[in-house]
Amino acid sequence: MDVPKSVFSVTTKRNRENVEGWTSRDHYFDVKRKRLEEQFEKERTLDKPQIFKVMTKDVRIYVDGRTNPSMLELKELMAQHGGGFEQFVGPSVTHIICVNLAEATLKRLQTMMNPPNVVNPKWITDSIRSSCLLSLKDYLVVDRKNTNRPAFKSNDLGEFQKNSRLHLIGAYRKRHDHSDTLDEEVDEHVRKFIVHLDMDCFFASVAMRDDPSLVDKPIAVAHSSTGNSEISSANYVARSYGIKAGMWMTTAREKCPNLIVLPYEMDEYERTAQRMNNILFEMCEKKHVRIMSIDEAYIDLTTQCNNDHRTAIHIVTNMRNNIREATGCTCSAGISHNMLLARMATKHAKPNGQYYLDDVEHIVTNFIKDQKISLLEIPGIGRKTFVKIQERFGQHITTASDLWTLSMHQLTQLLGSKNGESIYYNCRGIPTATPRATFCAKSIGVEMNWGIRFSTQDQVNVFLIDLSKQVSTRLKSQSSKTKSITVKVKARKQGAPIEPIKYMGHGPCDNASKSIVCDATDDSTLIGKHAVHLYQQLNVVTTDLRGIGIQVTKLIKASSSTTYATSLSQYFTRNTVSDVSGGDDGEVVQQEEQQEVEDDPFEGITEQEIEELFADINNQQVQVQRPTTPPPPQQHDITYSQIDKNVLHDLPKHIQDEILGDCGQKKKKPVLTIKRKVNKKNVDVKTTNVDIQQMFVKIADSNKQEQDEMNNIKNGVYSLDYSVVRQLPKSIQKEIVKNKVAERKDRDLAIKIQQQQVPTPNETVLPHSDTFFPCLRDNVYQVCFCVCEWMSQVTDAPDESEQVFLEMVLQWFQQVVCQEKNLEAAVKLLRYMKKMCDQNPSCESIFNKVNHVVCTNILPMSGVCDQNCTINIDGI
Amino acid sequence: MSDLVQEKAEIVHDVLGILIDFIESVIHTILYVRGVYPNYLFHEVVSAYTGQLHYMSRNPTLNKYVTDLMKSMREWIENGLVEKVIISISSNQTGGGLIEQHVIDLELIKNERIEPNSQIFSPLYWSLREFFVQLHSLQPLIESDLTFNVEVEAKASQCLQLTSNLDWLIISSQDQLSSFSNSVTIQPIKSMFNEGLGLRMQMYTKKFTSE
Repeated sequence: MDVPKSVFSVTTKRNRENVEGWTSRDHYFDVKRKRLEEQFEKERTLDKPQIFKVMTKDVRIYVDGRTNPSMLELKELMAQHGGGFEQFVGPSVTHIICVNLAEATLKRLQTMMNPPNVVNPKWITDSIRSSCLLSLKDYLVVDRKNTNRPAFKSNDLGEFQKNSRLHLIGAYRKRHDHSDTLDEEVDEHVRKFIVHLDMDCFFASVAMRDDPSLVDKPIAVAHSSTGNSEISSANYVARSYGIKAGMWMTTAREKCPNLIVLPYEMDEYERTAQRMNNILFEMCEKKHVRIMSIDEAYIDLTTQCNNDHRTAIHIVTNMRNNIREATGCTCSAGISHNMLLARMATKHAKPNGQYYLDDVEHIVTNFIKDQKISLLEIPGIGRKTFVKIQERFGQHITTASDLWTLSMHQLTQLLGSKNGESIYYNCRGIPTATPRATFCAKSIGVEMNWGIRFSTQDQVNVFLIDLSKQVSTRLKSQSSKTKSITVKVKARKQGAPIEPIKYMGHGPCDNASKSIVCDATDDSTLIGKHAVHLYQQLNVVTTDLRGIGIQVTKLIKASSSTTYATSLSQYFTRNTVSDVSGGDDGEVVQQEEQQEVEDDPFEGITEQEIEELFADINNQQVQVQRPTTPPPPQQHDITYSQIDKNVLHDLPKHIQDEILGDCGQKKKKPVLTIKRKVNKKNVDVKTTNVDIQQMFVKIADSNKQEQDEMNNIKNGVYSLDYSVVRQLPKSIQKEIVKNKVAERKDRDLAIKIQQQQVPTPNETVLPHSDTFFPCLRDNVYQVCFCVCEWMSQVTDAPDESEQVFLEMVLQWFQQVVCQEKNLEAAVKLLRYMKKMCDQNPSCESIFNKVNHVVCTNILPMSGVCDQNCTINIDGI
Repeated sequence: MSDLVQEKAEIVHDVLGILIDFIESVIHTILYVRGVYPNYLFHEVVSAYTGQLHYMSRNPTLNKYVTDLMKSMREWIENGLVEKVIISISSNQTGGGLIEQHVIDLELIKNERIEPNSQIFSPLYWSLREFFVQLHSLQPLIESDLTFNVEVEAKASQCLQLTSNLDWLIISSQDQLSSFSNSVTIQPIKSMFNEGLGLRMQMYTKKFTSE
């Protein structure tokens, strides 16, 4: 028999060792590795001799992660072309093939004596194509000689931006900017009506809309479900755990371990945003709408409102309804007379509400004071400025109203004349620039501060040229040319750790920038050339580079080379473009602020805090709508004990999770509580009858009571006008209902005591059919309880009541099986009855009777079965 | 007003779609969990209509068969003619004897009071999920050489009126009885009632054992 040599040798070795099976884990791996080697060798010896062997035996690759071509294809290629292939990283591996290398793998490699080269799969395909082993130089993923850090390849910029939510948000506005048309002259005497519209936890909402099962679960949207990934959006359930946007995943997991993390769906967000925009453009003229980002817009309703805020409120209500219908997501709106106040009002209206804020001075000041608007919500104040102000004027300054104590001089001294002045006014709710000023970017910047780890100057140059291409495209898209080019870099601060806490983040950095003034240009090669030159002048150690960007300023319209663009309020422009005010210090502030805005300062506070802040106003303003709570999912009727564990283990993992999740979920549900209590109490049901009944009534009714009372009020049971009650503040409504519930409880208790005092002819507690039957259809557990209670008291002595009760029970069975088609409920009761027989053998005859009638009469009557049958009571 | 009527009609149409899709998913799932076909023939899918995760055959012929079944049934269900959909599993090992029947008992109540709102389908989703959770807890049958067929209990004369060239065999209840063995055990799987959509449905299994 023709046995390949290697296979034979291993077989003999195994025979020699006389080992059956595996002696240890190491042995298992040993055998497995050898088997795989055999397999590979077999493939290699099988291939056709005419193929030129590119690889030598010295090339032994290991494939890490997903690659293109795939691992199997690479394995085949290696077999064909004479190389080696390893399933595990070991000392024999010479090359690791991957696109990206995980940090942990990298660390492990660093500890190896002879770490393998980490190369891109293109090296193999290119080598084979060119029929010779190419140099590794251009294909290295990790530069071993230098720092063992991943080196960026030129195509990473596009890849990064494709996955970046900040880029999506920023670029979205660029694409949908109709600002040129928003420069309509308006009579100064006409009061403006500005609406600020913001989608509620947009990314999370989209996810919840597409999967309704997530509605009542804490969810967050982030790149990864572990480690130092940043949360960009969290729903209100998650926020109740204290999770905020911008929080790191590790922190979030501590707060809420069962947080569901969902990936970004950039395309879906764009589609949803487009639907929202379409509605805005339908309802208002395009020139009156300013799309701020993917989930945010300003609308000018001045012309439609006729100087009446009620019209504005009405329009906004319609607008929000339309948006909810079209997108399936809710949004909040703030209405006021300038953008600053409108935005403040939105913050207050969230979630899913709207709020009108008058711009009369005392109302505004009261609003700012009462709402304790945080300093960070004031345009012009970012985290850095916030710290600066607190350092200078004391930690007690946290809200906008606290700033009122400072004079303009104090602020301008600390923050510069322009910034200080605008903050001075902004914190008083006075906008510093007219919102209708011409909007035109006065600078364009492309910056990347994440994942920058270069090892050679050449890599930086390639990257800078890539960035300049982007700048050039943007310049051309708004037909501008630049006369000044700035290169900004972030270099690792001396003494700062080489790898910051945030994965691939920039950590503490020194900022530096260098500019050059040139002839007006929008040419990418020219900008790139200048950028490379400027970068060299900055003298940054390449390995310490953590962020790099190109910014072009002094923009001129390509057509008319003399008109300079006028600026809009800082508040408006800072979302996408930053202003270079010259000097390193100013630059730092600018950069910091730019980042902060991208994180949306409004999301910096937990929803709980906002709730607290705005609780008072919420109760007073009828215009503010509270979100309707989603209806609770229907009760599930499976308990953990009912699941066959063997079957469960055979099921796929996620279905197991779902089944178990269902069980877990139901533990919280009131219905199950009742069931469990009934089960438990069955044991000593004889001694504690009355208690159980009371407890039972309490549990069963607790949820319904409030609703019932509301209905009672609605139906005019009490001398209260429902419409009036509806108009009252929520807290008062609640109180009324609470009182009514308490009253009813007292009444019920009184009736019960009365009933107990009346001696019954025989000792059995027999529920009256009138009170017994109406609730039967509602809850099978109630029936089970009643029947069990009765059965527990049955004695062997003949009893007249037995016949009556049996008839009632059978009537119930008939109704449930024939009319309601609910075999499940019927079986449940039978199961309970059977259980009772174990406790009280006297009632066995009753159970048999019922069971017989159900099987021989009721089931055939309902058409379930045509003949005598049995019913399986024991479950699946 | 006409908008509301239109909306109601759309809801009824959607419910029908969900129902058809649900029955189709149930057929596939039963074939999987009961081991009528080998497990590797199935893969997990999330149904577009019901949003439920279930097993689906990968065999195009079987898929087409089930899809065609549903297509022909659609009109009947729409008109409330179908009372039961029965998935019978029999084994050639026991000479073609019936082993069990899974019965989906349906009732679509013409509900004039449907109030369209965004939450109307939410309870239905949870109910359907419970069906699948229960179905997934069923164990494979021990018998081998299994085969299945689908029966529909419907108002036959009206069905014939609707569909001229019926590609179904008409059987009377007597035919069924003759093939039965002596003992039948009923095992309920799940029941649901959705008042808002006027849908009442239950599922149970009839197990046949020869004495």
